[in-house]
Amino acid sequence: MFNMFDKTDTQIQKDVMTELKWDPSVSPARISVTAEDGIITLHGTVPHYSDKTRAEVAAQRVGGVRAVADELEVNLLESYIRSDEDIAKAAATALEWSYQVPSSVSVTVDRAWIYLRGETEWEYQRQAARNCVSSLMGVRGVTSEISLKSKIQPSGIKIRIEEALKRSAESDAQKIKVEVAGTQVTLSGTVHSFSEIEDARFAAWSAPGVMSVENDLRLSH
Amino acid sequence: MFNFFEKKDTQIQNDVMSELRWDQSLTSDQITVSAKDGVITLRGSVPHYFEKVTAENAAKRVGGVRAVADELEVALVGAYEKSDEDIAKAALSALKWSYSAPEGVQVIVEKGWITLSGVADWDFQKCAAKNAVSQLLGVCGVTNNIVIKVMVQPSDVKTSIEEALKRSAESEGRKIKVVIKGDKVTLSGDVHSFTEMAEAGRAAWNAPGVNLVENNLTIANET
Repeated sequence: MFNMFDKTDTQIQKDVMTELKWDPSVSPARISVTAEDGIITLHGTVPHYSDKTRAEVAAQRVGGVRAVADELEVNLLESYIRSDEDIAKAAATALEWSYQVPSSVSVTVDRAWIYLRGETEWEYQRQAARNCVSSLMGVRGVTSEISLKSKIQPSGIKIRIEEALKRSAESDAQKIKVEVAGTQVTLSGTVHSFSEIEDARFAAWSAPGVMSVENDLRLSH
Repeated sequence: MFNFFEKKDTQIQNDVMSELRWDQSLTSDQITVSAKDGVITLRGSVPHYFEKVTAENAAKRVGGVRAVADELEVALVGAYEKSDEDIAKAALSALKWSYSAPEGVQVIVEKGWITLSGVADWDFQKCAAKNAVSQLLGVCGVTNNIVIKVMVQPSDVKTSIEEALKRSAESEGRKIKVVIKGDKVTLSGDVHSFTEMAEAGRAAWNAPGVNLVENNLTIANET
């Protein structure tokens, strides 16, 4: 099957393997890659939670990849293991010292898995909380149960998101359809790269009053 | 002056202003923007170092922007002020707990300004160290003096960087010229966006044995 990059699945699979090995921040030793219709599945184990995200990002970078299914499991290396108590302390300190995370976010740790709870006003704060704890030593996974509580009454969401997309150097605003139902935004259409998707998502989340963003953007095939 | 995005400086300036207001993580309303030939200058003050970085990135997102000169000053306000000693402790703890920062990074804090020094094997580790401390409360600047110590003898660097650029959905390796001199890589040519520029820089840094990347890529001015 061909795509706009004129690559077969075999080629895409090879390119993703090469990219995982090429990126020094990824630990590829126990990762295996399969490709079907441009959809990549990552299997195997990695030594830290951060490695999951990085492997995903590395795979997304490769031309011809339309989606990435991350089935990687975290198998912490002996030297990375920390007690839940120590992780909880480090996480609480990291959140407390973060310029972006409000004090309403709390953390619990269960078997090296971090749970974030509480409320924030904006998505970027929720994201900042996640970023803050994801790369801590000893972390197997992060679940964010932080809810958004916007103080702002939404108005003109659709137009404002469309304007933001038009300003952007990355997105092709004409190809992205923005639909708004109440405080929920749905993005659809076909774009060229994952960074375009990220960019569009950021624009949608930036609209005051938005409580959820449904991302139905697809990569061109 | 026109560019790829066919925007005038007044339009670019307007768009950057809108983008700064649009980015919710920017709380400062003390930023002024000027534009000349697609080069943006940011002036005024922000309440934390992180907002300086955020403002730069917001400006870089806007189509038609070719470069950003960041003249923003950081003026910490009340609640965000911390003693240098407390900042240093928090920074050391953040580095110690960071999965990716290199070991043994030294921290100096002077009036809220953090200076990092030490040695890393890779650029991503150097960046991870900076990221670990950039958004700590009380920080008004970060200087990253961590040195990349080359472990591997560079070989076939040029080919492998060119191949990495070709694999990428973002750059497709199109118009980027890669020149290698010893352990230094120079990238030149025209790209479409800052994302593409950063992506190419990252690809170059990933080559084993690279000690320095000079990113001379420019944002395309014409189609």
